Amino acid sequence: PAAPPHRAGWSPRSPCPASAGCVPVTQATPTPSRAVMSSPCDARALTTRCAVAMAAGDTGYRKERSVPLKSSSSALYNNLSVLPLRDKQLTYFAAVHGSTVSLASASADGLSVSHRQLQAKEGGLAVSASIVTQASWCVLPSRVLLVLTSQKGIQMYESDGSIMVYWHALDVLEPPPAQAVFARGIAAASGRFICVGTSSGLVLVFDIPSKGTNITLSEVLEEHRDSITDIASEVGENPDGDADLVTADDSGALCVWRSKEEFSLLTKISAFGWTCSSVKLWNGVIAAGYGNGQIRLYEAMSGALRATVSAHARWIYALDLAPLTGKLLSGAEDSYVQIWKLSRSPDTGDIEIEHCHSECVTDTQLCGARFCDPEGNAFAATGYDLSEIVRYGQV
Amino acid sequence: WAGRCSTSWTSACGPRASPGRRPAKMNGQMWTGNELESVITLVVSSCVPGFCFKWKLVAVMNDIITTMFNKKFMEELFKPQELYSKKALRTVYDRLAHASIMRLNQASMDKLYDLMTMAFKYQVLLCPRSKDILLVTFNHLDAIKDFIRDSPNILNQVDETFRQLIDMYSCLSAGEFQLIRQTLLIFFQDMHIRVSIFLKDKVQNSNGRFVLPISGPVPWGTEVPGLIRMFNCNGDEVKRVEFTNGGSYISPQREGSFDLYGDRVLKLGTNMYSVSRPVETHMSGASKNLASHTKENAAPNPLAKEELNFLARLMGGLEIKKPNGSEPGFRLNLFTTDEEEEYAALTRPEELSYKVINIQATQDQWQNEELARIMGEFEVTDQPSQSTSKGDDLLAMMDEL
Repeated sequence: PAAPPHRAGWSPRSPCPASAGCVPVTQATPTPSRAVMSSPCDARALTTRCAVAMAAGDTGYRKERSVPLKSSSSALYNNLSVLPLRDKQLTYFAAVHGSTVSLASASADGLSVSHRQLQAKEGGLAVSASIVTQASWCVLPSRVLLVLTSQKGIQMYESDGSIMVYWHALDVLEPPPAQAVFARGIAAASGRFICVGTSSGLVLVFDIPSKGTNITLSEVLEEHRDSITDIASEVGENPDGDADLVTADDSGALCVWRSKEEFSLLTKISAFGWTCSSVKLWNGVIAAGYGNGQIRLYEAMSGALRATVSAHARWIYALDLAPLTGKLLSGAEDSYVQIWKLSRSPDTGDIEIEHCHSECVTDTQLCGARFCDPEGNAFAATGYDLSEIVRYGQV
Repeated sequence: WAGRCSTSWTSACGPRASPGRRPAKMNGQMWTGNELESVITLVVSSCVPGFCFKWKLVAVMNDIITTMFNKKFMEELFKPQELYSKKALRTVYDRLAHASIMRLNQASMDKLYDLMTMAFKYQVLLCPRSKDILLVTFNHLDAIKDFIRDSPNILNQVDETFRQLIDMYSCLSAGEFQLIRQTLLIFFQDMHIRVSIFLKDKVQNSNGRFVLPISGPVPWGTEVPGLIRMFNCNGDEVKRVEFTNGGSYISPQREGSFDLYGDRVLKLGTNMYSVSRPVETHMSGASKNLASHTKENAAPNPLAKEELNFLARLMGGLEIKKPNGSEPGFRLNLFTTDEEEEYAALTRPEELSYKVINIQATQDQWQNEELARIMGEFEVTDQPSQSTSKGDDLLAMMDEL
């Protein structure tokens, strides 16, 4: 058969590493079936499928059954967290609405859903309910905690939201400052810590024991001058160094940290005028989403800019990364989820990114989007005023 | 005056009201200087019936705008603070709407508030850039300034507020504006009342959700999606790839102005009714043209008769006929009939009720601290010295007639 027509982004310089027996698919062939791809591809099979499928058209995702939420989602950065529980065949979802967090636990087919709602804790005298800014599961080797950040402080729960195991109140300043006060930005680090950002730019590092409630604040990182927006820890393997945490702020500045033993700052990436609302770290590559709709890729150790993508027409609200394949997704106020593929060229070591798929959630400003599994075979998203989580699975 | 003094207009004007004894309305409330001005305007213009209604509206407009841009109220608004609760905002809105001789019943007030809420939600939601919420506010102010362009005093008040807005907000970053916008969006969350003007213009779906376009100009500062650029470790661009993102966007033409005067470019926040159109909000299906489009009515204005009675009462010629004759005689009904208005009030869905606190003039003990603070700064009646002097000026003017 003739060589498959190139789709923009598919570079012949990065062929499938397995390269044995994969049948190229021409444009005449309908959606590639798995039977075609039953060549002895190894774990990198998705690269092949990607390349082949892209030759035939888009890497297909189709819409699956939505998961209803008890309350609609608020317009907040990174407003969707997903915890797949493979052994139980369940997936947990969490989205924030005002002072409440809606938890939904869905079966694999999406037919059976149970709900729970968590409330922001008031710290002392409160006139109005404290707004929750983010809810996220933190996966540590020995336990999984659900962390909520709000205007008053930080709450940590067991993963199903049943019991609160820790409460940390943000410092109350008298007289109250003219700036908003809140916590925002949540990530597990080094298998031992949970890092949480604050509106003043601090990053609080909590030491988490393998069980129990004896959680302590062990360190405070003071590098950022603007409110923290997101924090990410290394989800792959860093080939070149030990950068394992990146923190992002409202001005768009990024800080890269080493967190083994003690936290130390490795490099700082300056802002270019737009908020960085979402950040991910994979195999030494930082992926950052900005308020002007741009995604940027940086080398974590050096801070060097390696790629810019004019990805969205509006503010990016969420990024997620599938660590087993290097798939990246971005969700923005322009109603789109875009799926990308990160890779490193074996010859030059250059970081590459290619576009795989677009999905439009009509009339919705997306505020949260996540992969539902570490391969990136399925993803979920929610948007402002939307009382459901829309899901897509790979065909 | 009519309720207390002599029966004729001129004799009330003859002996001056002594300082401290302010003229009173029939229901016992005090006249503000502006209301006196409105009445005078009405007396003068009653000779030309066709202009009556328009003058009344101008008077109402002036009163509301003067009250809204009252210095103390603005000072209160500009203090850094949390967003008002829904109850507090609705109460402030009620107060503003009644800052003139215009009155609305509960159902019409609810409808007006629904309309305002959905319109503002639309404007905040569709802002291309977070900073554009400031441009929306500037569009609002530009339109307000146009309404009162012939009243230099009020114009100054509005300009002063304009300058304060520029001082306070021009230096905020995009991230800070986005936080403001996100907070506002939380306030408007789950409101999906359908507005007929939005439905007609296809900016709102029949389920009450707004249409989000995936085409048109990208916001200022954003690139049209579709380009990937890759760099080597030295920073040299080594590869450039295009992709299709799904929408069909184009580059923006120019940035809107954040100065006191200028082309805002953004259309959000400009007068929705600059083209004469019907105004309805849908909940129970009731519909009514807003009073400002009465030129479409061929029938004689039923309010006109009420108006003349009111003037006659002021002049002392007629006895008060209504048992509860405390109404100043201008009531705005956003429904087709009084019965419809009553029905709408009774059948309003519970989840959409606003739980407004009934405002008595000055006497209530405010249980709610927040409202007490706001209302403390927000006075409908002018300072005594101001209104007396204004009243005096008007009385003097009338003496010379």
